[in-house]
This record gives sequence, structure tokens and C-alpha cells, in this order.
Amino acid sequence: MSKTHEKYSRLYVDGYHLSAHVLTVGPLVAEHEAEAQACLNDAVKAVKAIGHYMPSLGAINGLFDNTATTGLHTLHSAAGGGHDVTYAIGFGAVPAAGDPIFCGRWLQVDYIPAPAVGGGALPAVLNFNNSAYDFENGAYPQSWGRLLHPSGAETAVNSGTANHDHGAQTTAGGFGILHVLAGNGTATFTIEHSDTNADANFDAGGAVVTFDTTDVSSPFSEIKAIATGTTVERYLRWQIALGTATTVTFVMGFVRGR
Amino acid sequence: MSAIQVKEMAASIKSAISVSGLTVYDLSGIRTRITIGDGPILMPNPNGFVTNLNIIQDSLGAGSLGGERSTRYTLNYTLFYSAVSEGGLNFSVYNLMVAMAVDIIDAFVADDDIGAAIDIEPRIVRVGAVYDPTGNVFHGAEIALDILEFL
Repeated sequence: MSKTHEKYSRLYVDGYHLSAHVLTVGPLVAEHEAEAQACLNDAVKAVKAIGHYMPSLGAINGLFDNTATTGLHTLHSAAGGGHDVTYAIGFGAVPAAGDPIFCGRWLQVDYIPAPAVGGGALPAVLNFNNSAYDFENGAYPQSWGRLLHPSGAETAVNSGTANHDHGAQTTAGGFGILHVLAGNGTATFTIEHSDTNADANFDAGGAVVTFDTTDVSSPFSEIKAIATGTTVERYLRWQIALGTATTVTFVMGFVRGR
Repeated sequence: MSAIQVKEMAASIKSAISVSGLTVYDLSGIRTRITIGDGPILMPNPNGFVTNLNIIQDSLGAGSLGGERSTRYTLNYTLFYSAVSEGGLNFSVYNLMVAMAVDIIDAFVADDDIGAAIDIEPRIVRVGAVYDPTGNVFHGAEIALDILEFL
């Protein structure tokens, strides 16, 4: 399917699955600063992208929800903090491995409950800034990546094949994003890469990203960037090593550097 | 471009919707006469089954150049719960009929991923007297399904 409907998108923020509380996300903007001094009759042959690349999450339009622990009001009524966000877009179904994700860390600049339009539920709007906030993303001016592990529980290591085939190796590094939604005990998360799509080759290729956080007993999120210029092989898969945890529910994605 | 799946949607709805005590018909099961005791039936309305079908241009391109399109249309069904004249002017089952109409809506809310439909928004248009094609009157409801299909 080449087009989709927003009902197949899912939103994860700081380890919380917010889809049921959110109506729309965006617009998802990816733009460069550009020279604004050109006049109408200037012979501008090209616009050189200068300054920073500014991906923007835009706004989260959701429901004013006071549910303890998980409601939008509970989690986001205090603006001014940075949040790890993954917006996964499914095609004709819930997001699956390989589907596009728009992700990064952005500053929530406000929290605006507003009058309901048409007599419906009370809405709340969260606006986010358009700069790479407090995040190694400064080295990676991209926000579009691929979902490696859609929301779901794992109780064992991944011995399967690739969760995404990029088609070719890249040599520009990238960053991984992880949301742990639920779990018990400890576990270690990595993203493995390989030039050959086989379990043994992934085992041999090892991890290209190793996340730092291991305590999965409460929701958390992490963005882990790797060095710019790092070679990332064509095939990627999620990996987990269970410590004391017996089950972990998580979402994982990767954004390649360009 | 995929063909509009109206006929197939009726069959998919028949397969997907399960409400206790209700028989769902597709287009091959339209009855000319519903007899007393047939039980609750949800049937495509032969006098206006498809209404408000629109083709939406999603992208540039047309004809041989392709282009993306969607379609929205409404499928209209009638719930025949029980004959009004059964045992005299019988309103004792009215509350049960309303409950079943709501159960049908709930069934679509629980599963709006039926057949080729990208989205299904069910509506109760009217609750009250409904008529089979031969004019017999029943307690029932008119139920509309607003459907979005990608082409």
C-alpha cells in the first residue's frame, strides 16, 4: 500500500504509548535555514542550505486526560522539558518493522488545554520547538528513520533475520531510539547490523548501537547516537539480552546519518 | 487503481459482524418479504443501499498517468427486529430492539477494519417503524455505515 490513514500511526513519548490520547501529530517539518536576503529579481540559481537543519515535531493535539501516570495532563502539563518522541507510521495496519518513523528529542514549549470544538471531549495542545534540543542530534540533522521493533513484548533474544533492509551500507553513523513501555528487572538493548541477512552474520557483526539504560522496571526512553562516519551495514535488527527481566515491552528504531 | 469494493464490503460485513441473536445478510440474501418469527435481521436496504459515493482525488495524475484516489460512500442497512403487529401492537420488545441496534454499532466500533474499508463510521439514522420490501412493518432501525476506501 502506497498511502495510509492516520489511524495507523502510533506515538511514543518518553516510554509512554500516547496514541489513545492523541488526535493528530505534526506537521512534521524538516527544513534547513536558507538565505533570506535574495530579492525577487536576484538571479538565484540555487539556495545553499546554511546553518542548522531544523526538524520539528510541530504539535501534538490530544485529549485533556487526567489519568494517573499515563494521561496527557499527568505527563505533559509542565512544559519546558525535553522529550524523546517516536511517531511511527503504519501502512494499512499498525506500524511494523521497516515502517517510517519521525523521531528525536524536542523541547515542549507549552501545554494548552482549549475549549472543545463542536461539543466534544476537552482537547489539549502541546507545541514543540524546531531545534535539536539537548541531544546529540546536533550531529545528525535527520529525524526520519525506520522502525525496527514495533510495540510488543519480548521474552528472549532475537535470532531472526533483519528487521529492516536499507538496500546498501552507509558510512555516516546515525542514532537509535528506544522506548521501554513495560518490563521487570534489567535488560540490555542493542541494534545489530550485518552485510548478510542471516542470524549467524548478525551475531558476528555485533552491535552498532548499545543503549545505556538497563533498568526496565518502569517506562523510560533513550536516544543513543554513534560516531559520525561510523559504517552501518545494510541490514539491521533489534536485539535484547535479558538480565533479571523475564519480559520487556518496547519500541526501537534507527535513523541513519546522511 | 483498485475497483470499488461495494459488493465485497457487504459480504465482508456479513462475515465480520457477530451480534447475539442477529442474522446479517449480504446482497445475495436480500429478502422480498420478512415473515413474523424470522428473528432479528440486519439486511442491506434494497431501496438505497449505496448513497453518497464520491471519488476523492488524493494526488496529481489522472487516466493513464495514474494518480491516487480514494472513495467515500455510505452503505445503508435495516434492522428488522420483530413485527409490530406480533401479538397485537407490541412495544414490549422496543427496548430490546434499541439495545440490539446499539450492539450493532458497538460491533462496528470494535472492528472497523473490515474488508477493503480503511475506515468505517457507523451511525444509527433512525429507530422506529421499518418496512420490508412488501410493506410489512417491523420494530427496527436504519443503520448507515460511512466507509472510506483507498483505490
